[in-house]
Amino acid sequence: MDDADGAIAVLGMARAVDLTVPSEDLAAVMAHLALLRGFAAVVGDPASEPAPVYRP
Amino acid sequence: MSATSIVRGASARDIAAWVRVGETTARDVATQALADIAERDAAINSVTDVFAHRALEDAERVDEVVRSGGDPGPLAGVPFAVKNLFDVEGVRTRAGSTVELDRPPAPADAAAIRRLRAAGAVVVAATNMDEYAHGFTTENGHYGTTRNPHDLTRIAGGSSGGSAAAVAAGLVPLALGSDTNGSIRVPSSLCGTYGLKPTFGRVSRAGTVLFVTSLDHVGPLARTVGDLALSFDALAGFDPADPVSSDHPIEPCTPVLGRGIDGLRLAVAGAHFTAVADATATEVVHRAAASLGVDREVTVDLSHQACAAASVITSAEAGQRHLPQLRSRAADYDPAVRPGLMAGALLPAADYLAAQRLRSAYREVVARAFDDVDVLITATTPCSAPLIGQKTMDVRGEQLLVGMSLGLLAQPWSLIGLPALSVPMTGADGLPIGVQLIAAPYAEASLFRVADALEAASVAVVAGSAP
Repeated sequence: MDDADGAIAVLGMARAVDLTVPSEDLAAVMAHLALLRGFAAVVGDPASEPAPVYRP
Repeated sequence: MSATSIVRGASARDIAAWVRVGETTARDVATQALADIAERDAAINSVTDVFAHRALEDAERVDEVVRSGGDPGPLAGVPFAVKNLFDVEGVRTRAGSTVELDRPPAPADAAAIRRLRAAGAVVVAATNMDEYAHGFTTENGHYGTTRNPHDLTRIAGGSSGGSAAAVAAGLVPLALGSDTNGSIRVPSSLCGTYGLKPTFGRVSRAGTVLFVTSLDHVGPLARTVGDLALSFDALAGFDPADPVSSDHPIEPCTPVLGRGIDGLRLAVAGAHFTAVADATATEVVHRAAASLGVDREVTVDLSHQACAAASVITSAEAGQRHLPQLRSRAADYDPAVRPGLMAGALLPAADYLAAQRLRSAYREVVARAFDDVDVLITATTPCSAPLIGQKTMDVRGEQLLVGMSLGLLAQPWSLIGLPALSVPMTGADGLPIGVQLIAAPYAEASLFRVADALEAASVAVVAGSAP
């Protein structure tokens, strides 16, 4: 996905939750989102069930 | 004793002892703390609000108890500061933001403040932080950057940077912070203070502006182990006003000081925890381990993935929490914080749920590790304090983002709610850097025994810097 496609995708995701991304923030939001999706890739798909109410 | 000598550099324990026997008054202590803040804080910008009138009134109440022969509490007359996300009655809670200032003044003190006050302590100031605790640097777009008292060109760390800097500079002996991914421990490491992130649910968060509901903790920062223990003992306990508060039995930590580490099984955590520690951070861990007679290293699997999961959960929960305000008044957010919150609000639910599954798996892995270890040792931060404005830091040849990576050694433990204590040391570069001690849930007393041993051996070098 090139930058233009990425921007369109992010703006579409934002529109879906009624959020307006200011133009001056668009590049930073895209960078943050790419970083977070990278983290999600590191997490992968663990087998454990989530704890709905977390207690240590 | 000069006007400022009582407070500056004095321990909470000493101040309380002096107040209790009438060697000084709580009012004199509060007056000196307020004067010291007025005179010296401009250089570090750790304080955003001063509560002069209230502090003097509270101090006089402590003095009245002393005069009447009552027990003023173990923290009698001890001045303390709070990160400005704690509610202080009658004050608008900033949470490092200007968005919050439209809300009415807080109707009551946060639970943690009430507990310290019940122990005789006197809240004198609120401290600077990253906006909404979103960051590790306390470079706040609204209230300015908090500078490190040891080197004014460097950051104090964050997000409880104002609290750590105020304690390190000797403005107050105690402060409260909050810790989601390391926000008590990171600034403690960079400023050279002790900092405790207790077990999740051990200290009430009621009356604080939450950042990430499932990860936020409240805890103390101090210049001595004894003061940290005194404040933790006052803070710990069940509070029905905090939905995650725990009624697990409390083991007071002040009585275990001086008990030594006999019988405790200690180990250095390797793998992830050595891979993201630079030479300075690695050397202080080796020095602490040598002092404690520790030559064992263990690997805690999934720790790298745990950091990633913590980042995903943090961003998703914080983004959703702020989404209504991001829709209506995005321009009022710190421009350095706003894009991260927006990105978090756009994260797919599948990513968040996978991160929660990883969290459960990691909890099981770490629980097994604690079957034959009582306290793990790591560096608290990958390196000592970066320069103000510095965007990346070199760790083992890799350029890491300062704003996201200072918590890499702290994040895994917060993710699963374990107690963790940062002990101040001085690195080979001459700057403070912390060694982190981690224990199983509710085993804070073990952390205090190890921290006390490091302090007693003069391995833990406490900050004495004052601008």
